[in-house]
Amino acid sequence: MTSSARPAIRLDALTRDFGATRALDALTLEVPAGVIFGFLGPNGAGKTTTINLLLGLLEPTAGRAEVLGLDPWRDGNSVRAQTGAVLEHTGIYEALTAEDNLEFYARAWRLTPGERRERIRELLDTMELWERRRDKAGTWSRGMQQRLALARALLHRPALVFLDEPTAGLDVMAATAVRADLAALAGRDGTTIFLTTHNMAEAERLCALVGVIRSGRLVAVGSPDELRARTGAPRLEIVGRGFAEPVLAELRARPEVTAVERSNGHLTLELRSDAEPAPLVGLLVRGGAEVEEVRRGQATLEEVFVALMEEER
Amino acid sequence: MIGDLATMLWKEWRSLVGGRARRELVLSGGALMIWAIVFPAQMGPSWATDPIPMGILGVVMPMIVAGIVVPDAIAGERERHTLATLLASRLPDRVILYGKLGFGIALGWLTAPFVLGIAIVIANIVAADAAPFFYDPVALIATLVLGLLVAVLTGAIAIFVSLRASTAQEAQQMTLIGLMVPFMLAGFGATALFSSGELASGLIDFLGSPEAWLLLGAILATLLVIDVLLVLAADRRFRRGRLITRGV
Repeated sequence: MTSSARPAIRLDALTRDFGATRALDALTLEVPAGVIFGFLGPNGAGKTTTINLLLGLLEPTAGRAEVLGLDPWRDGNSVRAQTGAVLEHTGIYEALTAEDNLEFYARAWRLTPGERRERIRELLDTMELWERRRDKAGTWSRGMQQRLALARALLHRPALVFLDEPTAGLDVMAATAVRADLAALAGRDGTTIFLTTHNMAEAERLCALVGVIRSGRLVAVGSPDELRARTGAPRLEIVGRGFAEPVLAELRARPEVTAVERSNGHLTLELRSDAEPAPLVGLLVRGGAEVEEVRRGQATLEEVFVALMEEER
Repeated sequence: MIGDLATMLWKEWRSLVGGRARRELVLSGGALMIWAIVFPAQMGPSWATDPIPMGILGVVMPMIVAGIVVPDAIAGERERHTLATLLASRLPDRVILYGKLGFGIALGWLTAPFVLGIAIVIANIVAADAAPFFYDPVALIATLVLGLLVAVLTGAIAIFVSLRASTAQEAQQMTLIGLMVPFMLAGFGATALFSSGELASGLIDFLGSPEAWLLLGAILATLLVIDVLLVLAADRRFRRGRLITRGV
């Protein structure tokens, strides 16, 4: 349904006001088909509003959105027929069994009885929930409900899936399982995934492309590597002993070093982008330090995110 | 559209069987069921000829059931955080609205013949010596039609209340209290009228006259018009863009 050349999502100055509050401010963005796109931002940044606009649940105040080549507000039913969603809350009917939760949405997506049986079995098996399919979903843990919600969103093999903080509130094991499901989904089926998250490590691990939003405005977009390179300075992490204060003072005085931090036998040097590490290590050795290991690194996505948020302030 | 509507009705039925709003239905419906057992047992054959208890069961029962089920299906769905996901599905607005409204009305209305049936069986058992008796068919049909129109009225009002209420319980209370007040006032008025012997005999004469059927017809026609207008207004109001608010 989606040609490889056409982006799955295209936003052009998309704006949404709630009364006097501008929730989304001229958001322009393209998400290619078949990737996991991470939409990052603090609470109230406009992430959920963006998903609601892309699903045709809200009318834009200005600008334009295109989802799978369709206008979500005008062709909402067609957009929703080709997309799946796990929103802020799982949307699981707790009074229904897990199987009935899927049965209802499979009927809603007009799967034939045979397709329904097969697909429900396949998804519950994949999510390791089949054995407990006749339990009321309300008796399940948050992690199991989240995986059931994910299964529900995938019932009709959508081209695009929206996930609003899919691992929020899950324990480590459940979050890891959900992440594995998402990675498999994108890799195996070529489904485009638009996910919002507060978890930078998750975005770093899963997403091919990341957008950062603050106060309704897009402040950065690119691959995690691009964002780190663009925003985060390179750094040198040195493990060893004998990092004496005079040699650290010498390092701080070097023009290519922007910060020096020592803790628990680790020395971290924040560098300018064109800095060469060898002379700095040589300086340490000449100053009497015993260097065991040197690692070149960049800022984490979390540090990039914090830097972007602070820039905006 | 029909298939989607059937899907929506299936889901509402499964949710009800699964225990949703069970407590409210058991409490309110149970009280009326007691009415449907105790009074026929006391009244015997006169149960079939007295229009007032029959009217109460045939009209109040659908009102209470629709007034519990429809708010639970809309305000309750929002309260349980399942509405946004439902709206993100491919089901059209109208299917969601008419599925929920239709289910509440159908369930409410179908309880009327059920409890009236139980009541007449009990009255016949108690009066075992008498020949089997049944309701006057015209009065029964009039009661059932009135019950249906009241169920539609209740359901349509419940839609508007549910769109504003923050919880299902609040929506149920507002809907039922709002509808009960006119019914109770009418009841007090009737009691006052019947306490005056002259007025009561005049009223009984009127109820037995052909003009009474004309009055009933006028009431049914008025209710029908109000129902149609309210359902059309609900149809205009129940749109995704209006249901989703910021952060929902």
